[in-house]
Order: sequence, then structure tokens, then C-alpha cells
Amino acid sequence: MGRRVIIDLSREKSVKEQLKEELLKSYLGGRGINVKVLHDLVSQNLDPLSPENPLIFGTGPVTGTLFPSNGRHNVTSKSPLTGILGDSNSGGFWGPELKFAGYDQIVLVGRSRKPVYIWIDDDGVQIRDASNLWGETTWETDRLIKEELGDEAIQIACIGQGGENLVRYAAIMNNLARAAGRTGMGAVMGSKNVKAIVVRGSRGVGIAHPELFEELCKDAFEKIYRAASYESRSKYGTTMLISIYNTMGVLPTRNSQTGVFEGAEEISGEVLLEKYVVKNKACFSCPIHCSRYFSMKNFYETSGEGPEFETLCSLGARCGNSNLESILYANNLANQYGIDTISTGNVIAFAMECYEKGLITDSDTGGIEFTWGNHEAIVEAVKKIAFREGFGDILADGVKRASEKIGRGAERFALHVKGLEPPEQDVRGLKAWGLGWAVSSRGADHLRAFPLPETTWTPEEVKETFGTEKAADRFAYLGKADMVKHFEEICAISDSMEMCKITLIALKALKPEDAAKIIYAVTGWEIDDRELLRVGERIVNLERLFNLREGISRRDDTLPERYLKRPMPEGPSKGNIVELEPMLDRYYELRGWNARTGIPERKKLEELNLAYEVS
Amino acid sequence: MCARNSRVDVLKSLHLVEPNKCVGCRICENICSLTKEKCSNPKLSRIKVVKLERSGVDEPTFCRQCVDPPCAKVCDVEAIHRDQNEARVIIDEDKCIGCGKCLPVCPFSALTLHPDRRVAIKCDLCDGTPKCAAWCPTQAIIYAESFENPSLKQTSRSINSLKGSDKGDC
Repeated sequence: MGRRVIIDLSREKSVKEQLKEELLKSYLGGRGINVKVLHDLVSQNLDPLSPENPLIFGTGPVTGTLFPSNGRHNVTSKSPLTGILGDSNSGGFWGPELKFAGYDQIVLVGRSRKPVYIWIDDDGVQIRDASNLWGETTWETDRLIKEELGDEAIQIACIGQGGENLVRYAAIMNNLARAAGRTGMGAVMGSKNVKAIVVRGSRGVGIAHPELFEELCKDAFEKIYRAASYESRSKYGTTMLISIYNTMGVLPTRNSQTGVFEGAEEISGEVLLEKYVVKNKACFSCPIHCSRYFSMKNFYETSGEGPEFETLCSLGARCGNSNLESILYANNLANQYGIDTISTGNVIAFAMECYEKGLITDSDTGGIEFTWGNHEAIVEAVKKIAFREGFGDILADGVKRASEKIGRGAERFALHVKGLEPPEQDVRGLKAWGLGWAVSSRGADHLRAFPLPETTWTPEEVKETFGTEKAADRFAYLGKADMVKHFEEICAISDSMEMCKITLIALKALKPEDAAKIIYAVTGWEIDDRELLRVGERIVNLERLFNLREGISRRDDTLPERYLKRPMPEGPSKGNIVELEPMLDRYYELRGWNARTGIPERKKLEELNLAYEVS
Repeated sequence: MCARNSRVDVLKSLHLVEPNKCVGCRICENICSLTKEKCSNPKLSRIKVVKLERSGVDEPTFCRQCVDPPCAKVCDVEAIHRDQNEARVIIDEDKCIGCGKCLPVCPFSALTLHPDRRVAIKCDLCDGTPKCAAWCPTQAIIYAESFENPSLKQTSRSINSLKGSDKGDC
């Protein structure tokens, strides 16, 4: 184990090298080893779409094994959407296959002169012509490559027209419906003229202690099956959150003008399951199988896997859209074109609010009526964005740039943190999530901190870990910085082991101790939960250093004005705003970061063996 | 793979209950390769999940322990035989020469050549406690009493018809 392949697209050469054990022990894998490479290779102010920007794919130490939900991979680069850390994590089957071929990491550098795809077949690494694939959807690309190579079981990560056209939030898709969606990694791949990375591996993953490993796996599976939310997670997956969030008054509706949606029931996971779901689907080695395959044959006719809660909301409630079939259809389109559904829903909702407030008219939009709930406009906009046609060209740059172009105060409706459009919670009713968005190393994001204890732990449980029962009150501020810091560490571990956070966090089934034991059983490394948390903290800090170098400081650790100053107008979270600054002060204190600048103190960096990174 | 003191239940066999029950997680492949090879390598698994992604199909394929096994018929060195008492088909690794003749005749693509040992490998029902069935999260595969002759043709027909639908766009 522990190999990487560096592929220089400009010179059409590749080189393989062993990863040092010390590097793996310091950063684990995936997100951790990727940001290390990014920090080392990228110089300040580098254009993210230039050949020099590396595009990095990483797997984790237990990826490809029986251990539950380990099969994820991380894609890292400098983001063309935000200009800071670009990072996205995907499930599916691609990561394990890369591991079976014997690699922990792929680093793409340079730019190919013509469209190519990379074919990694165990030790063989080829750069192959992809001129016949350029212009095709991700689904067609998947089909054509499997046909060309004569193997249905190969794994393909590819871009669609979104990545080719440098949509700043283009995704890299695998298994048709699985996305490394956030922060525009697909645009970086498109800028390199790489259509796909295709892998096949027969080497497998060695297990240092097979008997212990099987025992630990058995224990982990049993804990998962016993978890209180296993049944609902395995039936609805994340889609159950539409109803839950609406009941809490935190379901982003009409560009987060409110947190309750009158059409929530129509787009709920319950209705999706009843009307359209054919069967459940799983990622590699995952007993939760929270994904679903659906089929419909009405006004909109299509079938496919998904969508997740985030998409149901971004293309649904956020756009005032209660037409579920249009969401399923638009989700499939976004998957085929390879664009991030969270950012896509956000830019459309932003356009709708601009349209509502009269900042844009039909003459700006090329005749598309961006009225709330106009599902045909949503579907049309998805196409226009992917091909950068007409008004879609402006929306393809994300809400921040689009609002600057539109001007006339449109910035007020452009919801983003550090340039990244937010996910689907209204943080006025979820204070820890608000802090999580503000400090996240990739911009507005729920999966950097994923502070679920705020709503799913008992007062006794949060008191034990975060020192106050208040931490389980979603409207309270006490203990939230402590929660965000701790869970940022857990998320960094999860993303670097390439484990799913539903298993590691949402189900409350597995703990860092379990993660440490399984790493030992697979790799033989002596590691405990304390050391793992230190690795998590190191990763968070290195990401901070990367962002600081790009000009980020405390003033960027903030939220859109809507959440800070406009009280929630109605519903169960009515009257709430986010009082961010006191949480931020406490967060910096816990992190050992300077309260004024947000820069990690020297002592902290030395403690994490990161001091040399800033020398 | 020829086990002595076998505990295989005479009447039991592995069955795919219903294709839509399989969620395609490949846990069966993982536990199989861990059990048989002490590593994690689905390519060495005796059970394989055929995935047709566009149509959402996941279908485990494995040896059905045929009553009249075509693999045994084509074997020139008589390395494969059906143990009538144990209701399973056994490959004698000492006799197998790795010619691969048995692979294409299997209607379920249930045999593989071991890349290192160069012998044919397939499911031996884990001597009566098949791990794949025990670990399957949805009980899509079960180890149970045989229904007459496993409905072989029916299953392969369903795979073929699904292959035909594995096309198309939005």
C-alpha cells in the first residue's frame, strides 16, 4: 500500500512513487494527504484554471475493505469558484477500485493539448484519446468507455459538459449519480482537457491482522444495525430531512427568505419513496444503503439514482418548487452535465429573487421567467448553465460573481461564504451549523463540522462532551464552538479515512476508538483515538494555512447578512438570527488561533508539527 | 478447496431471493475474499455482483452447485465433481491445471482463475456456513433448502433482458 501516481499531462508522462509512512500517519489519506500536496505545490495567487494547479484524488487507509462505508474518495485542488481550498468527497465505487489497483493518490498536473482520458489498469497508466467523448454527458461517457475497454466492471470518474465549459461549480461524477460536487473540481479537470479517469484493480488490499479485522468489522456492522436511526436511514436516506427540517422551520425556502415551505410534503422523502423509488442502493461495503433508484414516466420521464436531501431542497424548496418530478429530472440532468446540485439550486434561487425584486427582467434572462416554483424554468436554467448559454453564462460563475455582474444591490441576495453557495439548512435555527459554515475551510458547508449533536444528542450526552446541556439546544450559543471544533476534527478524520459521515457521525454507531482499531487491523500502525484527533486537528490547521496564504482572514469567517441581521420571519425558528461573533471568539480560543487575525499561533503549529509549513 | 469433515447441509444451497433486494454494496465479495484469501480483493471473491448502472440492477452471481455441472463435463483432468451427498460441486485444486476451460461454460460466470495459484476457484458454500449470506445486509442471498433445481435459466434470462434496457438518457 501507499503508492501515488503523478501524471504530467503536458509532457504525457507518469511516475509512481511510494508514499512515506510518516506522511500517511500524519495525514491518514484522502482529504489529509491531498491538502498536503496542494499546500506544497500551489503558490500564492495561482489561477485555479491554469495548468500549474494540481488536481488530486485520494483514498484512505481502509478503503476497499469490508469495514462499513469506507469506499469514498476525495478530490482536491485550488477552487475556481472560491479561489481558496477546493475539496470534494464522493461515495460510490471508484475509490476502492483505485485502491485495488494499488494507489492511494493520483496527482494530475499540467494540461493536455487535446481531450484525453486516463486509463489506470493496475500498474499500467495510459493517457488515451478522448476526442470522441468530448461534448458527451457523464452517462454517455461512462457507457462509451466501458464499451471501448470491453469491461462493465471498470470504475469511471468523469466530467460532463459542465466541466468542459468550465462551469465554476462543475462536478466530477462517478457511478452516474455520485458526485465530487462542491467547489468546482470538474472545472479544473475540464481545464486540463481530461474527460475521465478510468480505473481497474486486481491487487486488492492487504489486511495486516485478518482475524482481528473480521472481528472488528462484525462489531461495527452490529453497532450499525442496532443504531436507533438505522431503519429510517436505510429506508429514506437523507431525504427524510425535508419533513424534519420543515417541522423545525429551517428548510431554506425561496432563497432562504423563510424556513418553512408550504410544498414540503409534496417533495418529501416519504412521497418520493411511495411514488417513485424502485429499490435501495448502496455505496461500496455499506450496510446502510441509503441511496435509492427511482423511475417515473409522466410529464418528466427518467430513471436514476438519488436524489439526496440537499438536492430535493436546493432545486425544490429553495426555488419555491413543489414539483417533485421536476426535481428528479433536473437532478438527473445535473448529474449528466456534471454540475453541483447545491450550487446550481442556489444560483437559480438567487436569480429568482433578483427577478422577484425587479433587478433582472426577461430581457436579461433571455425570456426565462424566473418566478418562484417555475419548474420548467429550473430545468431550462440547468441546461443553460451547463452549456453557458445566454443568462446561463452569468449563473455558471456562481452567485458571488453573478451578483457582481448584475449589480444594483444583487449582492444582498447572493448567499455564500467565501464564494461557496450554502447547503440546505437555515442556520438561524441551527446555531452550531452557522458557526460551522462560517469557519469551514471550503466556504459555506455543513460537512466540515457536521455538528449533529446539536439536534440529535441528549442534554446529558452533550454535557459530558461539551460541558453544557445548552449544547443540545439549537437556539442556544453555549458549547457550540466546542462542538464545532471537536466535530471538525472528526470530519477531517472521516474524510481522510474516506469513511461516510452517516456511519461515523449521524448513526452514532462508531467512535474514533473504532476508527483507530480498524486502522491498526488493516495497516498495522499503532494509533489511538487521541492521536487520530490530533491528525484531524492537523488537517484543519493545514487547510487554514493554505487559505490564509490566499488572503483569508477572520473577516471572511462570516455569514451572509440574511442570517446575521434578518430575523427568521415565521415558523418554529421565528425571530432568530445568528449572533456569530461570540461563538467565533470562543472557537479561535479553542483552536489556538489569534482572535483578531484568525492566524494559528506558533505554539499551536509546533504542537501539530506544522511549524515548518510556514517557515 | 476439497474440505474434509465437511458440515455442508445436504439440502441447503445459496439462493438469490429477488434481484431488487440486492443493493449492490458488494459486502458479499468483501467477506468472501477475506474468508478465502485473507485479504480484501473482490477479484478473488467467489461471489460477484453484476452491476448494470443505468438500469440500477445489482445481481449477485455465484455457483448454483448444479446437479449436472457443465464445468465438470468439460474438465479434461476430472478436477471437478459434484458431491451428491453434500449437494455441492467441488474443485480439487491438486488436480486442476488452470486451463480455464470450465470458465466459459458456466451459465452464471461463477468460476474464476486464481491469478497467483493458477487454479479455478468458485464458491464451496464455506463448508456449510456461507459467509456471504450471513453478512448480506438485506438477505438478498440466503442459504436455505433447495427449491428443486435452482431456476437457472430464469435468472440468466432476467440478466439478459436487463442488459437490453441498460441504455438511454434522460
